[in-house]
Amino acid sequence: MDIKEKTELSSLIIESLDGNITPERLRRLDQLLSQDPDAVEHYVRHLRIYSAFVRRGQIYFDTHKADIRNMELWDELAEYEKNAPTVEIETPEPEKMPVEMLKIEKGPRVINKFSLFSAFISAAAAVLFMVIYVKYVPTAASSVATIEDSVNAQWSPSEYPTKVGERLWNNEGTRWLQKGMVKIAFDYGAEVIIEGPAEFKLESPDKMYLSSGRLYSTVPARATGFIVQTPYSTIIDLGTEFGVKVDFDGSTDVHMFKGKASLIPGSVGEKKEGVEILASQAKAVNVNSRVQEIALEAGGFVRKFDSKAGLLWRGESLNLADIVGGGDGFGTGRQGQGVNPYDGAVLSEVGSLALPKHKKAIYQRVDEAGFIEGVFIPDGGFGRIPISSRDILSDCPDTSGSMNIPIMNGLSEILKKVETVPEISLQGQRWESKDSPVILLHTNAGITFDLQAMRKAMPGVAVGRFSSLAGISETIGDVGTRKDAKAEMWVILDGEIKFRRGVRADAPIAYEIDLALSEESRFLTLMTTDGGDGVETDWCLFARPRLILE
Amino acid sequence: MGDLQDKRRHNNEQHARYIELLMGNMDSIYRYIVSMVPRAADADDILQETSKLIWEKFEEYQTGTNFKNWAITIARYKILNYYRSMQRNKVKFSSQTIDAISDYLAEHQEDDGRDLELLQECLSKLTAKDRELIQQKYAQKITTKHLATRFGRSVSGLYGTLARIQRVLIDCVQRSLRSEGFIR
Repeated sequence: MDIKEKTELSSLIIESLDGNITPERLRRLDQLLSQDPDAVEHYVRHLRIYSAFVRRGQIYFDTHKADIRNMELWDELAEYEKNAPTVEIETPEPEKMPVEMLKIEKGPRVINKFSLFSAFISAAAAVLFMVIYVKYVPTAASSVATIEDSVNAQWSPSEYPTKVGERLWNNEGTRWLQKGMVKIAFDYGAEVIIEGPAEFKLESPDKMYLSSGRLYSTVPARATGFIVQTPYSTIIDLGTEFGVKVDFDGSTDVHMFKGKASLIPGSVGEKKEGVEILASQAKAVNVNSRVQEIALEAGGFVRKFDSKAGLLWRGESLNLADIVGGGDGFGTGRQGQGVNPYDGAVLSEVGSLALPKHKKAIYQRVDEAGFIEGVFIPDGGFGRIPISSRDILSDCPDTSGSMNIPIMNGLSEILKKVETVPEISLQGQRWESKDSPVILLHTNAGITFDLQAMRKAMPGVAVGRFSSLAGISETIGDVGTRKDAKAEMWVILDGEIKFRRGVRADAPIAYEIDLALSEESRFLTLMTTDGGDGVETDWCLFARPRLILE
Repeated sequence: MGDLQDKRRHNNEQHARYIELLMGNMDSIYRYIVSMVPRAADADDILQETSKLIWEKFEEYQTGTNFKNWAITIARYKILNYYRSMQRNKVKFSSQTIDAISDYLAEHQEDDGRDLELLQECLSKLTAKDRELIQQKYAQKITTKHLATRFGRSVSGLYGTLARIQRVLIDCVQRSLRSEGFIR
């Protein structure tokens, strides 16, 4: 292969590894590899170098930036020089230094520093330097991490870096974050969020010491082996996400959210047997190095934050009822607020609506509400109906095309006062508060959520699953005028029907929905249609509707 | 009670051995996986699943045999499942390409790591700007899009630059190996 072909191949490989390759470019890459053995050879060599770059301990990038800050080294050398015997010898040129001395280090190369002052010392002192340098190699100063982000961070007075983008070194001693939080990216891949007040020390590109405070660690598989040490334990990551809390007496709690890790109780130097912590487990180590099981604190740690996006996420799910109520999904929405499926208008404290029937199926964009892409009144009598800005549903049954209750977060106060409106309940439980969120989706109505908009607002957070109870309210039989009212409830993902069930007022059943989503999933639609018998008493509910985030 | 203590001790010993062997061979296992799977994020997921399956099957591993080869066999099983379960629109190679890569890897077993030592030296021969770009891309994990903005380049232009640097490093390592008498 010539230079041009090799460069083209390397470009295709890098795009592919990034996940940014177009289908056409992937076909080109595949064609090259399947037809040319030289291309396969270049490909494997490229991946070997890539692997060395991203795996810990293989390659050091700071080849000319290493700065010997350990002044003890200079002091010892100066002390020796005072008492060293006189030796007549030529001052050696840097290139004439013994080969053994240039091959001492396993860590960051400091060839430039070495050659610089070797011109100023006698040969005997140079031998001493070699001995001292070997002794100090394991703790040679190097930069090991970067401050990626911070929110309201206040540090103890320090001359060391504290600003976003600055590099952190392993010889800066204990850092004290008095308040706020900081996100630190270690060079070998681990990312750690530290919440103040906290005291910690960075030891290497894959190791840190937490004296007190709270941190959450995200370690991709290629950075496996990341270590967090505390006064009475050592946690070795095996490809995980976990939280660590250290109290002022040094006792440590470890909460495992993903993957697994090895927990070795005892302080440095003590020998204790390690135990495994698996996902959804939590363990505590006390000052006597005793390990015990504790309850997992699901919301106990900040797992993601992004100061620019205004994101702060402690692992909560996204509440879709809260979003219908004008909120951000984390509890800022209003009870009784909703959306008019006829025109997409956001409504607060509204009762029933008297709406004309559409002459054709219309999908209304809801620009105000952010995560809600649009709403519509489903009526298959128009043929295929739009259910998002992109998807069309061809299986919608012919409905009355009318509706008179807005899509709502719980019940508005106005509606609660109407005699024919029931206390909505499902599985024997009332649903209409922040702790029992519910989307009231009286027929005929549909609402489409934009998952991509959510991902954009929460960088680094994946939308993993949709979970909800679905059913018709159990209490309408007492107050509704149609005790045998029928309806259908639907869940549609990117135009594909994932859930479709008939429900009846006189035989209410609550269905558990648990739908996996992929990173390509875009539009999630919840829809209800009358069962062919009109809209009366069709109090359909999606209870505890949430998107489980990861 | 004695049996329970023995069982716990055995589990802890197995666990310690598992960690030692896995950590000692993780680089080789990762290199194999990332060579067979075109997308780095998918390779990470497969590495995680492989590590988990290695632990589940650890009782089957015979002490003294080649752990790396045994672990790579498990990785190969996970890679096969990955290709089988992939949706149509996902990034993946054709079966001819997978066979070609797999055959090459089988014929060219791991060496003594001399090429990685030479890579360190070749890295120091790059210009400071090229080295800074590589460090920000791979060590600091800044996305190509952000790097393009930082360096004032288009994204496609930056991919070209990264590819040039990569090609230069590969050629430098190969030249150095040939001059030392390693035939590659």
